[in-house]
Amino acid sequence: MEVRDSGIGISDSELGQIFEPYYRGKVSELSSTGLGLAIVKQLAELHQGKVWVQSEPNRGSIFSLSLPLGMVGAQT
Amino acid sequence: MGKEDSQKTKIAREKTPVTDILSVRQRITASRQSTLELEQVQQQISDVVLQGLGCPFLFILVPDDKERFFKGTAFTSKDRLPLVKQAEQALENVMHLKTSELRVPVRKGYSLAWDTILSSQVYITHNLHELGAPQLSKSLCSKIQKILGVKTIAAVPLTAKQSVVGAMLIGTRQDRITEAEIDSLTAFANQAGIAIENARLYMKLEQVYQELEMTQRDLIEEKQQRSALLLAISHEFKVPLTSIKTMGSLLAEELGGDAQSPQAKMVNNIRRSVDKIEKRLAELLDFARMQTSTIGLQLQPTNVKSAIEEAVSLCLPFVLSKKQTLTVEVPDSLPQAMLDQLRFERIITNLLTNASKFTLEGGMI
Repeated sequence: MEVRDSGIGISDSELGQIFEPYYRGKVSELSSTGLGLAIVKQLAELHQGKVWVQSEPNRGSIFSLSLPLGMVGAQT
Repeated sequence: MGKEDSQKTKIAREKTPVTDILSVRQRITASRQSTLELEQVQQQISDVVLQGLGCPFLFILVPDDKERFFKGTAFTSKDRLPLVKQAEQALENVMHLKTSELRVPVRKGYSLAWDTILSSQVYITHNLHELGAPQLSKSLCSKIQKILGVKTIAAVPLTAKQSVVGAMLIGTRQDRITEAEIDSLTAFANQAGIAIENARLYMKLEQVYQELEMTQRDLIEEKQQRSALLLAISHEFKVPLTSIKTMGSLLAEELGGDAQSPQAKMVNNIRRSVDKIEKRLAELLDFARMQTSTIGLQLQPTNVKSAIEEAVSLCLPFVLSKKQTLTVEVPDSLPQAMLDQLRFERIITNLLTNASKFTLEGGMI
């Protein structure tokens, strides 16, 4: 699953940090907690899945999410 | 006792150097496998020298933690222990020093004898003062020698990888030490040096490992404390926030229909801000719970498509307020997945609101 946007993008130097708790982007508003993506990552990992990101400044970002289907397939 | 002594020494000396070295090698190898503690290695060495090679007195020097000085420990057989104690007492009386406080610099330039030893050569003397100087006086050295009855001292460097990692001072009551004895001592010293070096390296590693472990424990504890603090703060904030919120809506009702009045605008502003704070708090709380791992997933077969649609509808107001275009493409035939539906929606809404936040007005998602 992917979420693409045509937004401001993320610079290379920040890409590695955005999933860290309390990390706020340089352009982010001051009032944010910097937890949104950390929560995404934690939840994805709790589901045995993962999230990753590709981005180009001023072009946009693509956040990708992959989660396993789990045991449902076996039941049907 | 004296008779037994000399007999033992004699038997020991009749062994050939080769068998000595072999048994020594076996012992050192065995000791290296079973235990690498420096003290125990020294004990093993002393066993070999005292019993195997039949030398009555042994003083082993190994570097201290900072590797600036060699520090020594005295070894002897049980029956000669009183003599060693007496010698140590003499040292304490004259110098106010314990044996463990005797030290020799690891670097050359201290004395002729030690320069020789540090050049990996055996130093043999009848005069302990040559080894004890300048820390120990001549009279004290001869007193110690007299107490122990030592006539000849062989200082044998312990070497590992061509460098001197310590020394053994071997005191005998004989007038001279034979070439063969020196040979077997030197051969043994090479093995002993490696064992000592290994033990020291092992201990250093152990130390580093323990420090790492402690740091790790501290970090984990800190993380847990931080999460606990977050949880506590969030809870503390929740109650007054709820009351502000309630009062806010009551106040809005009191003010009645006129939404354009300055008071109504202010009240609305307050209510919006409270909502914002509440959301942030929920986020913090959620995260803190995740860190202390008190949340478990409630996995159940979930219709992925409807979950995505639910999340999208939650985010739509954000997207529309910035006049952005949101395109959702979901294949019709999606299988069900084992998911915690609320948390799955949370992932999507977080990603979508982020996308909206960092995209200019009129952009595409």
